[in-house]
Amino acid sequence: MRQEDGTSKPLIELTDISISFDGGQSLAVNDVSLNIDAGTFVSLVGASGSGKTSLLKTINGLNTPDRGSVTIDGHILSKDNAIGLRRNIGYVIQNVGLFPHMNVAENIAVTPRLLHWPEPRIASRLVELMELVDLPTDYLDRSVNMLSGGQKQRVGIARALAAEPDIVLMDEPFGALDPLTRDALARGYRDLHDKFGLTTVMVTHDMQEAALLSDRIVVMHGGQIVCDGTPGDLLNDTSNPMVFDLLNLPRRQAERIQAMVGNTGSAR
Amino acid sequence: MNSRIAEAFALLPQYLSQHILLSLAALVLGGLISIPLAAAALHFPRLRGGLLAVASVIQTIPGLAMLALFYPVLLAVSELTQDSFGFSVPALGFLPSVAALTLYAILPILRNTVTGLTGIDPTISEAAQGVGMTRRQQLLQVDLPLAAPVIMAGVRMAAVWTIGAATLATPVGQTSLGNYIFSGLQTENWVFVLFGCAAAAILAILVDLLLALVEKATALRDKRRLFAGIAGLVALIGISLVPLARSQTSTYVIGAKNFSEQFILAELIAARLRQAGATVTIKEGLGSAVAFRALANSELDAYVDYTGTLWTNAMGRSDMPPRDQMLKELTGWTKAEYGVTLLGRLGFENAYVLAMRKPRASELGITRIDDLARRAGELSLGSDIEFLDRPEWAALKQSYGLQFRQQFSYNPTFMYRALADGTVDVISAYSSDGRIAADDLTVLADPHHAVPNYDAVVLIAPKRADDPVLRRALQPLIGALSVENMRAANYEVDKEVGKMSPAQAAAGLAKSIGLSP
Repeated sequence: MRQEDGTSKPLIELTDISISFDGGQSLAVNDVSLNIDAGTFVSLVGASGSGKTSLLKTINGLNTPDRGSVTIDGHILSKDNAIGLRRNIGYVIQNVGLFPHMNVAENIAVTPRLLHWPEPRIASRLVELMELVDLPTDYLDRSVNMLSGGQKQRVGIARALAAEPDIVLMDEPFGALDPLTRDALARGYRDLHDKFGLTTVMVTHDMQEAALLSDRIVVMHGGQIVCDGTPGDLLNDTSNPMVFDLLNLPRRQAERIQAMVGNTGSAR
Repeated sequence: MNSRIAEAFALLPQYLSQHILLSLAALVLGGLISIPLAAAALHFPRLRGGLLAVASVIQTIPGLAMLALFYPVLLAVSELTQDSFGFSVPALGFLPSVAALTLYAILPILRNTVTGLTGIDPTISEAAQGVGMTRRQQLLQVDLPLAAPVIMAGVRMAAVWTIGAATLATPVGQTSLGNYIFSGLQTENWVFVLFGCAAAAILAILVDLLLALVEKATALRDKRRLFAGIAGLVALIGISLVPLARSQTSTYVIGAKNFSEQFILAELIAARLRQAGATVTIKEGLGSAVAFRALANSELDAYVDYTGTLWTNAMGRSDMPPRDQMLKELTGWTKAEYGVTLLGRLGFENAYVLAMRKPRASELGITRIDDLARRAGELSLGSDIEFLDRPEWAALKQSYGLQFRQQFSYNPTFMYRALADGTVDVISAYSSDGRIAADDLTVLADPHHAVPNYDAVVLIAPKRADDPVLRRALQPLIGALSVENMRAANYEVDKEVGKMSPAQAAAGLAKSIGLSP
């Protein structure tokens, strides 16, 4: 956000966030602060239980932190404005969560209808979204139960983008897909991110995916941020052995693949 | 066609429409109560457990008891509203029946709604919140539509239960298909009993099939099937409304308790009123206490009761004054206490008497109750359902020291059967019963006069006290019915072969006492 005095203010500000479960027994997130600028693609990376999903869900108010504050575009998130703010934040989850009793069009149009968009505007937006996520428009009338996994997640992304949000939150969005679909969908989404100047926060445990897609990677461990930087910064940082191992994994895998290609390369 | 089947079919439109309306009202109310309750309980597990427990307990209360319980409850409510707001709530008929059946309909719908709502995939819930739905929007747009097939299965179960239990509404004065069953059992008209059972079963199956179609349609989200199921249900309800729209409201309501003599006398009174140009409904199969309170509450206009019953049960007296004095005191008391007019005696008595088969009685040398008391330890007593709880039995027991080997309670028809086949040796018979002569029974004398008089008397509701039409119809009956006339009429209905309907017997009775039938 460009302020009138010319200084830029982060679009999402998480300040001193702590989240506990079992009534304060165990901390999922321990005193974390994170600012995200408009237009950035940020990945939250870490092992299971590192607190990355818990932190993500505070941004759209699905988790209420025990302590700390969430500010979205200058508005402090509270119980009273959470639902309103949430309608302007796209949300994509691993199992997609399409409503099985609604067809494709009804699923995508959910948030615009909650926002009382006029029906003609919704109709033209639906056609536009189907093109953006690369699905034929005659799928709009289909039952979501008849779609493949990749098609479902395309609909999920269309639903998240339907009400033209500035922010999109994604929780393992491509985790359940086969590698080819996954790659196509991930790259397709990154294009949309750039095209519409979105601010995206994605939770993933896949470092390769994070490195290939994001502008910035935030590594979490035990409810705290242990590392924060561009993919290039992190790949070259050897100070933290845990982070180094995590980030080095895709490189080592790539080298092993490369070696195999080299061995049989002469045949091609 | 068999005349009794024809008679049953003639009553079908009225009984069926009342039955459908009663079941429908209970089902709709049950749904309106339990679905919001289940939705509210969704976020409060403790409330949910409590609700389901209460609903399960309600389900274990026998249907007949539940219906009977609502009657005194509504009477009390009626007295309250009468005192505070100046209007009374009907305690008889539709209201108590709907209230009781609604309670029955709640459990299956509540349980299935809770199951359906708690069974929703957490991912879907997360998505619903994630797209920005409020709790209410999530409930209406996502949770309830997704739970609809499970909820519909509960509605189906509730519908079948309600249609079955609605047959029990007859004794609290609500017409239903149960009227066939209750009056058929009483008069041993098995065609009626079977007809009532079959009609209720067919209705239940039909509704179940239509609801199954709706359930399947909600599960498959098949709009055509949904439309077909709903259209079928609407058609069924529409058909049930036709006879209701045609029938004009009746001006007089005549009550009858649950035995043949009462059916005949109610038909006799109804026929006389109809001759005077009035429309009449008979509420039959009422419990003894229910009938009197309903009359006092002006839900009935007139019925026939018996002095001894009123004396001991309604008035709560245990002394035994002479006949005329008892009648005088009763007449004054009913008027002063309830505004009920005791018009006069019909002329015959229907007392509780102890009776035995003649050969058995002479074999044991028993002609009087004190003879019986000496042998009672070896004998079995069969009684009707209320006799053993009545003060008359307490008085007999105390006065003669009666102690039977075994005691059984029956529906009156089966009581006579049990005596005939030797299951019991002594029964609590009714002195005006045609079967005393027909079955060749010995009525045991009561030398201690332990049992009071049971003169049949006509009672008139407070609001009809000065009604000239009712008075003109009833006055010629006073003192006109001898016990022989009544026994003969009763026997026409109770006999095994060639039995008459109560209305036919009433016409015969009218002719035999010189009134135009």
